Order: sequence, then structure tokens, then C-alpha cells
Amino acid sequence: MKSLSQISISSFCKLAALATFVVIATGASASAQTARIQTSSLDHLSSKAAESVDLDLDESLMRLASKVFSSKDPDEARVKQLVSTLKGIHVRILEFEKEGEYVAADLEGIRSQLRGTGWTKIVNVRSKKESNVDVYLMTSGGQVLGLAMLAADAKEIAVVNILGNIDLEKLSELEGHFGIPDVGIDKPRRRN
Amino acid sequence: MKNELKNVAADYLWDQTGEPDPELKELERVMGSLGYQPRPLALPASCENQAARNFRPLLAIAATIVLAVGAAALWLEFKRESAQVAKTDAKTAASVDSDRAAATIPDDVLGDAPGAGASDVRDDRDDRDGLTGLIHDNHPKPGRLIAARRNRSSQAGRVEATQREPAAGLTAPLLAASELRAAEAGKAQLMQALRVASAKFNVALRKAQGANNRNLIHNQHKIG
Repeated sequence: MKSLSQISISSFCKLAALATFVVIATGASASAQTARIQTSSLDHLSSKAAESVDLDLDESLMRLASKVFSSKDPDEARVKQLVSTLKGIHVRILEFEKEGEYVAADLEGIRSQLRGTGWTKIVNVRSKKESNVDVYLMTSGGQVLGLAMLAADAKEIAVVNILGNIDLEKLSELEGHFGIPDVGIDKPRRRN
Repeated sequence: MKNELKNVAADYLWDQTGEPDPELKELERVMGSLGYQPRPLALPASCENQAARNFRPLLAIAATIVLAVGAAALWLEFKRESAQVAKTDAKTAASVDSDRAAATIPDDVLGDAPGAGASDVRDDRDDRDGLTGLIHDNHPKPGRLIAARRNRSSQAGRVEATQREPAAGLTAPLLAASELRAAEAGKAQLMQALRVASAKFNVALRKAQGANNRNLIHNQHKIG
């Protein structure tokens, strides 16, 4: 027959093991829920591309960069505010000289990630003449965790991945500032 | 006779009456110094230690005060040193700014700098989605390079104004020269990334809105 102390130690060990498992499971779930999109499946196309742009900004670099934004300039202040809630921006653009340098299957590596848990397609544009654009949003508990955009036409592939709580309205409002072209989006009027 | 003496001595010993025996007298004299004498109580050494132990709380209080004063002195010294470091950094930043005003800005930083010139903006507006211009901004072509260099003086002024601002007004966090360079490069990258993101997002929105409008027109007969 076990003594009371032996039973207590045994129960404590079981509880500790259970707690460890819960912590590990929670961590695994959180990492699975990350909004980071891997674009390494496009690496083999880099050699074919005439122009290639890779921009990888992590949170620390964005925090450093936001220190040199002027708070007096309204445009820069707006960008600083937009960036303050972000944890990373990753952009990959491949531009080809001729059509047919890549096939739709080359994008499957990106699309399969966006079909994963947590991503919701909010915009899906299909055009024979212009580029096809898909915009995905990852949310959790009413909070935006990330944004992913995949734009592809005959000569170009663009993948944009923004991590963090992105304000889509503010992102859209950047157009017309800092050399961002104004493409004439009709913005919804705010009701006072 | 012997009994008589015994009785005399016994009376003296009993109540100090009668004739005392000379031996008794002698003994009384010799041992008299050992008798009770009224005097203040002399405490043993152990009691004296206990009395000394009563000073320990006072010692603890004194030690606490000394420690508190020491900690306060250290904190003041640390604060004074921090203020000196901040002053030194401000001077360094000011000198770096003045040095940079005369120095050439790297091409990649200028090419990616926010508001990269009127010609770049025009070209971006000509693009349907703004991406061709953005890619070209990263690798400027000769014609655009000339236009970019033409605007360099004004751009340099703008960039320098941004860099000088923190040192002059001390409103932004002070950065070392290397950090400032990294921050400027990061800012340029960040702006380019935001340009692409905003352009792509707006293209998607524009097309989605266009599709909705077309549907609205198509369905007008149904709506009436």
C-alpha cells in the first residue's frame, strides 16, 4: 500500500507531465498558426527571371527603420503608425522577358500554403488580359495575424506577405503617397 | 566546667548572649569579611552579552540606512553617466550629420529613398499596377538614372533633412552612425515593400470593384 507522500509525488509528476504536454502542444499550435509564407518554391525561377526583387523585413529592422520616420511629416507619421503593428514584410517579385517562362504548377507551392488552416481568401481576381490576384487574410479571435497576396500574369509573379495586425484601409490609403501610384480606388465614405 | 563552657558558647552561638569563647571570637573576626554586605548587584558576564544583543536592531537599522544611501548614490551616478552618454551621442550624431552633408549618398539608398523623384512617380502612374516601375526603381535604366541623378541634389536635401531632424530637435531616439545608416536603408526597403503591397492590394480592390459594378449594370434590369 502506497503512503500518502508517495501518492502525492506520483500525482504531482503526472500533473507536471500533463502541463508540459499542454505547453508544448500550445507552442506547436501557435507556430502552425504563423502567417509567414515560404517562397523557396520559386527559387528555381530566379535564374530565368529578367528582374528579381526580394525584400525581407523582420520586426527588428522595421522597428529600427521606423525610428527615422519623421513624426512631423503626416505621410511618414501615417506609415509609422501602420508599421507599428506589423511584425514583418516579405516581398518577392519575379519579372520575365517572355511569356511562358513559368507554369501554373510553379505557384502551387505558394497556393498550397495559402490553402492551409487559418487563411481566408478575401479577394480573387481572374483576368485573361491582366494579372490574376489573390488576397488572403489570416485572422484569429477577430485580430488580423497576416496578409498574403499572390499576383501573377504572363510575365510576372509577385508574392507579398505581411505579418502582424495590418490595417487594410491604411495600406490602401498609401496610394498616391511616396511615389505609390494612385489607381483610382473608390474609397467608402466615412459616415460622421 | 566543660558543660558550663559549652552552655556559655551555645548561648552565644544561639542568640549572642553570654560570654563568647575566644576561639569563636577569632573565627568571627576572620570570617566576618565574608558575611553579607549590602552593595549593588554585580551582573555576570553572560547577562552583559544579552544587554549588548539589544543593540542589534539598531545596528540593522543603521546598516539599512547605509545600504539605502549607497544605492541612492549609485543610482544618481548611473543617471549622471546616462545623461553624459546621451549628450555625447547627440554631439556624435550632429557631427555625423555635418559630415554626411558633404558626403555622397550611396546610389542604392537614393534610388530606394521615399519619394524617389517626380520622374519615378510619373512612370509608376503610367504602369497599370505600378510594379514595372518598382522593379525598375531597383535597377534604374540609363534614361531614368539620368533623371534620378538630376533630382539627386533635391533628394539628398530631403534625406539629409530627415537625418538631421532627430539630432537637431532631439525628438527621435538617438542612433549611432552605423545604426542610422541601417535605419535609412531599412526605411527605403520598407517603403518599397509598402509600395508593392499597396499597389497590388489596390489593383485587386480596383478589379473587384469593377467586377461588382459590372454585375450591378448587368443586373439592373432585374433590380428595376
